[in-house]
Amino acid sequence: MSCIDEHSYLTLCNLLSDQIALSLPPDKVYLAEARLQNLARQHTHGDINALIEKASTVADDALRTELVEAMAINETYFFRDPILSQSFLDTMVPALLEKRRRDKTLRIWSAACSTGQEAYSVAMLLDQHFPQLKEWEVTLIASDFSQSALNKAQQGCYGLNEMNRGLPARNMALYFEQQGLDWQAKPAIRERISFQKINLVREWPDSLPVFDIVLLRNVLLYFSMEDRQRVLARVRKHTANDGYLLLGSTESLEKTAGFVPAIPGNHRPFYQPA
Amino acid sequence: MTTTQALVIDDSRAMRLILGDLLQQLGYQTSEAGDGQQAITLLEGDDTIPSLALVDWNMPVMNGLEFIRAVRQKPCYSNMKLLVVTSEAEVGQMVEALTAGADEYLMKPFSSEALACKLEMMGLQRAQRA
Ligand SMILES: C[S@@+](CC[C@H](N)C(=O)[O-])C[C@H]1O[C@@H](n2cnc3c(N)ncnc32)[C@H](O)[C@@H]1O
Ligand SMILES: [Mg+2]
Repeated sequence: MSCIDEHSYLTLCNLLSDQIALSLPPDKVYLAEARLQNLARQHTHGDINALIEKASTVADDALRTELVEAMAINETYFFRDPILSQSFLDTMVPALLEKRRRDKTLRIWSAACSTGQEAYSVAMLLDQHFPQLKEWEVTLIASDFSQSALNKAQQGCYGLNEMNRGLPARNMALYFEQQGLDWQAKPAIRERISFQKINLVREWPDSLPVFDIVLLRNVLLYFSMEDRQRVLARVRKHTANDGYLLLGSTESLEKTAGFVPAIPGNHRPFYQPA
Repeated sequence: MTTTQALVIDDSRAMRLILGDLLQQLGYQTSEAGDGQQAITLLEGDDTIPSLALVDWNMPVMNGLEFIRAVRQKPCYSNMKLLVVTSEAEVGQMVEALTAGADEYLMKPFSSEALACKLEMMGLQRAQRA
């Protein structure tokens, strides 16, 4: 296996920071080596340093994109952390059913949705527990910068390992159908989610609405402090004043972020605009 | 460390070993049976009711589905959680197992993490962590 030299590692770190705000710590060289091996084999005869060089200099957006996508951490699973179901069932949706009862709209954003499990979990929760929403206009947008993650999310096709992680058997039987060795979300549930390519640290589409619920989970932790603050300030503008923000279960916000804990005294990971 | 009893029911000895190991790592004390009938005999001969049974689908004498039906008819076992562990990844069978009273379904092959995740979903894992 080819090893990454210091210069190339620095180039890689700069590239990732520039493209997706990923701040790669100095001690993750081994991770980069493992993740870039395949790409290097395809493009630069296995030479990872040459791959990094090429991706950062050549006017080849495709290669750069491939490299950045290969470095992003996509770890996710269905119904990740009990707080997801709890906050939807106990707090957010009951409150919003009341607050939005006139216009009957509900807008939810799974920002950094990875391969889609988070968005499908939300779609299943709504379907199972809030049948009254069938008469509402429910918008569920799932976005990620990574086209390969989005493609998979859109297909809603998962292997055994993914199906075994977090998805109740009842949901598997209700909402998925077998496709050979894989399982695919049924069209009825897939159609409720609209998938979009959004890089949180670049321009956002003008059409992006203000949301009642934003899921920004397990992504800020990869950003630098400044990028976190910048993204949060923009997320705040896309969160209704009486809406909610949910982070990953180990993530929390500084006071200055424009959000306060949704459950007083409980400082993570569930917030409301201040 | 609190241990809780788990019963592993599978006709494959290798599978019983693997599952037993995984459960022990999660803090369970395990016993095992090679088919549903053996499992029932074991349950009836013991005062302590396991909090969990891992149930294979295909087994001789009494298969997983028959075991689940038999156990769910007896109120004394109503607190015993039943996790079907099987390579029969078929929606029809999954529904059959759930209807018969299984709590969850795990498809082989699976990772130890997937097992831990299922147990947590069944409200089991945390208290028993070693
Ligand atoms: C660890 S996954 C989390 C997925 C899901 N939200 C969850 O909590 O399970 C992080 C995701 O963030 C995405 N991501 C990283 N940087 C991003 C950026 N700048 N813009 C959009 N998505 C980004 C990655 O592609 C990856 O899919
Ligand atoms: Mg068997």
